[in-house]
Amino acid sequence: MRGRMGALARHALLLALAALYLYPVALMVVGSLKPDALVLPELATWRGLFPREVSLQNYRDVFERVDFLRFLGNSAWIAGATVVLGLAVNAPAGYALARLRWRARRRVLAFALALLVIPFEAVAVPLFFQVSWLGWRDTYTAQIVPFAANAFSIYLLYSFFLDLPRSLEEAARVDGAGPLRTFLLVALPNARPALATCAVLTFLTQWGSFLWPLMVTSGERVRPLPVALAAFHTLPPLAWGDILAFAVMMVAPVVALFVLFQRWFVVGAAYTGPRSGQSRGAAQRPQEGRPDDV
Amino acid sequence: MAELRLVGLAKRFPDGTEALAPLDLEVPDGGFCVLLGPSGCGKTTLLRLVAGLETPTAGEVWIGGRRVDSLPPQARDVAMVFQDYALYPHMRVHDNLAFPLRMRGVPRAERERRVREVARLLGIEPLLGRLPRELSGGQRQRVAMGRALVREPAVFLMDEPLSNLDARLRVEVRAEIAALHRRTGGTFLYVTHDQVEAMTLGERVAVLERGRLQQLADPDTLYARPATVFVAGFVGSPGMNLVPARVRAGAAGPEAEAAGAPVRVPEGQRAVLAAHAGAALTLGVRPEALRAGQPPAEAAWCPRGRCEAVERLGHEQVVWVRTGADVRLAARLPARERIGAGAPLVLWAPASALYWFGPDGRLLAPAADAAGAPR
Repeated sequence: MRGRMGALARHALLLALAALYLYPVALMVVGSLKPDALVLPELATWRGLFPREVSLQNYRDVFERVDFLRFLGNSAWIAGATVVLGLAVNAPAGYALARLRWRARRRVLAFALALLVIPFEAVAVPLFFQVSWLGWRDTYTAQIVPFAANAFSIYLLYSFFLDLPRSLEEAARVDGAGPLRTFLLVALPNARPALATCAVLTFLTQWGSFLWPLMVTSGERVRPLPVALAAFHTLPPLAWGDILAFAVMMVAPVVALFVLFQRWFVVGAAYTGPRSGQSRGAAQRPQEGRPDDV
Repeated sequence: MAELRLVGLAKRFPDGTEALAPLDLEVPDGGFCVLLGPSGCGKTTLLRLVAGLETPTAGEVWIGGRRVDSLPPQARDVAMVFQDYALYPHMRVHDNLAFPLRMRGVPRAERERRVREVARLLGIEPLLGRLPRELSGGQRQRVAMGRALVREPAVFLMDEPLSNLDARLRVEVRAEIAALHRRTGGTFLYVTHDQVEAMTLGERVAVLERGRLQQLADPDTLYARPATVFVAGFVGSPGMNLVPARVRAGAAGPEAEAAGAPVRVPEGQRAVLAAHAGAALTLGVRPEALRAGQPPAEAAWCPRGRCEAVERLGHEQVVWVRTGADVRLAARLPARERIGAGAPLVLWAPASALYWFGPDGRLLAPAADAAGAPR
């Protein structure tokens, strides 16, 4: 009986916490479906969550007032290109650190790890100067290239490659593959879980990025969604329903992405360091598998 | 196919460990050589040196008259079966088998033909569409062998390929490997710590201990004339009984004593032992040469002791005896002799079964029984 009460109390607490965290999200969704004039007045009442009537008028307004599809396309292009370029850069880097023998290997690894603790805001201004000097202001390039190489991705892939059975690569060498083909045909396909995790995390970071695009973009041409949302906020007339509709449309793609790739989010979260994961399933061990039935 | 020749091959790891002392080894074209030794003896290192997965500190590797020790693995024309099989987890069996051919630019039609042929040879045709994780241990082992066979390489390297199989399957696959060797006529270098595998498969067996080659011989010679105490103790199940012995010069020739019992030195061994009078030698007797019971006149050595343990194997039994001089002896006796643990026991060995090893551990005099065995 006591255990049951305890469980009940625990669940009540968890529900309360969940409600606390979900409240703003619910407000955003509901508010986006209500007439502008009612959003603020009803905010603190129960009508805030249970509206009298719903309509998609705010969404139509967004499309009429700004070029939303352009911003969406910009964000998709910036995040997608960073993912692709990032994998092309970080996977070889992680592999080189894990498997190749070269002189400064340990120092480079330590350096990459040290980069993890430096907040982006600290380097934003010098990076801005550099990008300006390169003539990249108001371009996609400025929003993609600086984020391709990523210390976290490199470290994640490094620890994954470290765990890959060495005999796989040795077998490939003996079978006739050189170092490059060993990497491309054997190591890389077996690192799919880590690659997917990196892709998802990079995409999310880029999708929500605000400070940097705000610094390097001035026009609407290459402006991504978060900056566009901020600009929309300041565009008269101030219409909270429209702003919330904009926000919902900005969040929807990543929620869809989460549903599709949930598994890799979990793998990514489980990654804490080398030799920590059991969910890596990439390489078979001879002991496991089905019983001998030859 | 080609012969394999190692000249002064040595490996020292960066931390200073000597994994392999300079070693010479020759495996003739179509030969089957087994590297035998306990774990850490350097046998796998030797195999990896031949494959090109390790760089030697010194020495040369020749395959088919071509020096390959400075070439990368892919240029050496060797195929290797790994202990954990190392099948590519993301490729189906068919693609695993085709991989070495693809890497060498073999045209697709020819590739298909050879994959099918090898799959048929190993009886894995129905598995071609499966992933490695969908296979049993034995099936994986076969695929690993198939991947090595498909390329028809100059030399096959096998690193304990049976160690992950259960006992019954091991016997089966062992026979298959022997048959495969006969059928393909390939040159095989095979690593194992299992002496039964070594004795049944190898035309020649190289016994290694702590990076040093102890003996290179055919299985019969290895058993009949072990070159060192290590080989004598390692080969055989249980290995040879090795007993510290003292030899004195007596009035009528050398007198010896081991495990508290005098040893009547046989005629043929007197000269050798006389030359080592006063030295600490080792007396060797195979467990199957020991008998229990009242010693007859031809008994040359009769240690007494107490039975410590009995391992009954059905057709025979291994009896462990602790002698008065605190020496442990193993005797393989017929199963019908009922011997209880704790019982006092007299063992005896005929003069023709005694081996003598010098203070350096090398064989001084083989047993007369072994005299007819090939050198």
